[in-house]
Amino acid sequence: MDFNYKKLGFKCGLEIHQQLDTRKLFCSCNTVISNKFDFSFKRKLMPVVGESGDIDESALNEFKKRKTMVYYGNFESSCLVDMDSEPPHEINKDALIIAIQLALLLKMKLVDEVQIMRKTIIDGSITTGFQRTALIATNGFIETSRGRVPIESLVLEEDSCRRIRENEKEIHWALDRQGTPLIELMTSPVIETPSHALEVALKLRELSRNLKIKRGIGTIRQDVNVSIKNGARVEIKGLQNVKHMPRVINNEIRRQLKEKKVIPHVRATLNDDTTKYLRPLASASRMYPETDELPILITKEIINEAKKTLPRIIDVKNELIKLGLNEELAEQIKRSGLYEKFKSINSKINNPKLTSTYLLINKNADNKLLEKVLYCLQKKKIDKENAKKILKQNMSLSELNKFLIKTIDENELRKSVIKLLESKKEILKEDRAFKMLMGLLMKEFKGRADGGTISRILKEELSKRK
Amino acid sequence: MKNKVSVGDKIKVKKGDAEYEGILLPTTDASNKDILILKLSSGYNVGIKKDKNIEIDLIKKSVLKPGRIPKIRFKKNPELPNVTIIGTGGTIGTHVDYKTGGVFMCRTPEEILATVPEIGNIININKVINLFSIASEDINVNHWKKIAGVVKKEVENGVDAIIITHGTDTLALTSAVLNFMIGVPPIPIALVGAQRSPDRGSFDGRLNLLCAAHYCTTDIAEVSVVMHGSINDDFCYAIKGTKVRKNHSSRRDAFQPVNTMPFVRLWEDGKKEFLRKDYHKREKEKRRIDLKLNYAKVGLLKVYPNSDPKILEWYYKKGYEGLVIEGTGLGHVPGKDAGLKNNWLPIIKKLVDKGVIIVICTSTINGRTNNRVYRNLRLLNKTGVLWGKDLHAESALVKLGVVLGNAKNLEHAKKMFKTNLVGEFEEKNIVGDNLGF
Ligand SMILES: [Zn+2]
Repeated sequence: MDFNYKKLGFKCGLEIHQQLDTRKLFCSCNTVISNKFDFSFKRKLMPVVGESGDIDESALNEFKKRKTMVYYGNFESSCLVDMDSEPPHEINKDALIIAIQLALLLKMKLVDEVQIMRKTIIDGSITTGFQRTALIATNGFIETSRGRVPIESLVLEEDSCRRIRENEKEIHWALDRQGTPLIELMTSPVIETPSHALEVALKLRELSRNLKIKRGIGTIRQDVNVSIKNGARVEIKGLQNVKHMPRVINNEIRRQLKEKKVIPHVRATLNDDTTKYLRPLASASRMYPETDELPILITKEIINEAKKTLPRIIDVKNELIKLGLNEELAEQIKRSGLYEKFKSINSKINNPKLTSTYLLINKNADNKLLEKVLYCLQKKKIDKENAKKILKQNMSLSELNKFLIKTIDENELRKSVIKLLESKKEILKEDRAFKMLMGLLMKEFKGRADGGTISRILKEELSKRK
Repeated sequence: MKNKVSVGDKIKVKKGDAEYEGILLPTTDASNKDILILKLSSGYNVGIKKDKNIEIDLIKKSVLKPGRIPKIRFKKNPELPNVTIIGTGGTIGTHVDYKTGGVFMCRTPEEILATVPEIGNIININKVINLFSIASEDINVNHWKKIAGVVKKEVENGVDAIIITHGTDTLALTSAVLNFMIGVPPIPIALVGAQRSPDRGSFDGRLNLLCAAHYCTTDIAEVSVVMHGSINDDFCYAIKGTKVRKNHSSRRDAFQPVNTMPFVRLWEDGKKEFLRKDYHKREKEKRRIDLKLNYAKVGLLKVYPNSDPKILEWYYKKGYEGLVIEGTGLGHVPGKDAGLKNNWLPIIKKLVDKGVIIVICTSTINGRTNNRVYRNLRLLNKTGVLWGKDLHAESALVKLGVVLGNAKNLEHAKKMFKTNLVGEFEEKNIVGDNLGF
């Protein structure tokens, strides 16, 4: 299923949007997504005059069909700035510092003075009708197995609203996401193969995870630009799972090979890793200065501040091997982004192999639950089947108790051993007496007492009878 | 620097191992020292510090050309009212050149139509007169006189209505003073502004302009401010020019009626809900306006705990003929019990006796003054002050300016101030609950 990508004239670049884990970019609202809404309001957006710019009767009729935008806000995550009813506050310094940190990690050139721009957005997804966006750095790179991949630009910008629903007359939006700081990274279109694309995406993600970024569904959006010889630039949006990137790209190559003439356009990813036509490629966005904000001088002081809090980038795999994992497990834990989780759980369980095995099959398991399950497994207080079931169903700690093995009290066990020795006197004479008795006892007390205890008591009782 | 480059040229800038290619833009007063602003092909602007390491190469001369104003290709409809638009400044009535980022005043009907094309379905823009382009905080008496003069001329020329675009900060003062200078007009006159800039999709001036145009089609011959009625882009209120105030620094529904009911609620699609019947009706025949153009030296001040009444003597020495004092609550000023140094009553009396008109308003904005319910109010009344009643202080200020400027003598001025000249006093305060304020 793999192609000869070089022969195909394969060209590929990535555009990655990553949300930062801070307050909003131009106000002090939080960036928590919630479906609890405190208020709503309606807006009619101005018609945007077409590129030719001329206005006639038919254009006027088009204006009449415009939909009303309905915005829903929560007092914690929305204020007058979000409603476009107050000028933006000064840019969030935490977000700016994170952007500078990522630029430093990618060996980029910071601009001397950041100019905040307004990028026209016409679909209503931002209340102002434009997105505030600023170029922070250019000309960086990331090392990959196929050499350096240049990072052309790092942009800090505000996210847009969440679309809730739409009908014939209205589009409904949630304001909570709007204004969340986003970093946009753009690579050069020099990625050589689909798996190389995956590598670049994972490397960039791993690097940014050293900084204060948001995690989880919807916090990162990765777009892929793909073209082949005699084809055209096709932009693929909405890739949910980064691991499916090679499949999606290969499917796109296959599709472009079948087409007689490929025109540049945007496609959306579907669940089966194929894509469907979304819209024509957007012409260069209308971008002009954000006059409500002052330009920001990138001073030595702010760069030093960014450097001061820049985390030491550690070789995760190496650390994992030091903690006692083999190559393969270390690689898997690192790839799954489970390093921190593994470290925390293993510090209590102190059994790297057991911890990593169970963590890899239950990546999203609650730390506390996983710790308890692993503890019980080690102490043989639970059997493997039940352990798996508990984790799979994400049971509560109290539910877990129901699966604990009822252990037999040592005195009870001793009584049973004595009783057995009396009833099986004939076995005592045999050479293999211990082994045979042990077998019988293990069968009887399986799951209620551990072998070590049984063997100790049996030995003690046998020695009394010699 | 190898080549001399100028704004608008495409250049290449090298600095250390960073390299940028783009169009050189003019620096603004917002920029830091020694910064060169470049527009990259991606659309982003970047600021590059000029220092000794910088290398600049010219790629192409004069690449940046201003965008053009869209052409309007629909005919005037003879059925629609002919409206003159008077531009005075502020963000409304401007348009943005997206290519250069510059903001320009609309100079022709076409330019207004390019910003709000649908207005062409409501009115015929007879003429656009750009009087000046001034931020509304910089407006002064001379601007007011010019506006009043042009309004008079346009009314006499026979237009069906007038729209005046204005910055929002002092919009309500201009609307009030205009009403006092021209009196009750024979045609609808709308003052309109915008709280957000016209480059953005959510430009509130769009609805304000459309509703001002709808107001021009009514028979309400009054000076009104037409601005958003809610935080939604759904309707505007036309509020009497003497009884409206900007009550929020940035919300689009900042303009609220003070002790009055708006004349009408106006929707974008032309729907109108008339909220009162007692307005002055359009007069087809009458075209004369008697201007009261003189404006006296008047001032506005406020009392508060520990305030020093000696400030009044300063005003007197500087030649002020009239003062509006925002009293507390029903119109109180600190009296005897405030202490010898803080008792305003004797100095107020001294100024009144010397022929200064002092008007007492309330700092609460809403509600009216009272001259008798408390002893201190009765004592204040005895000094000979006038009462602003339900006029808010800024409206009382400009009324006092016009009255003192045009009266024959002091007694005439006092009489004029007490007279309900253009409907600025209302006998009754509205409850207002149904409007949400
Ligand atoms: Zn906010």
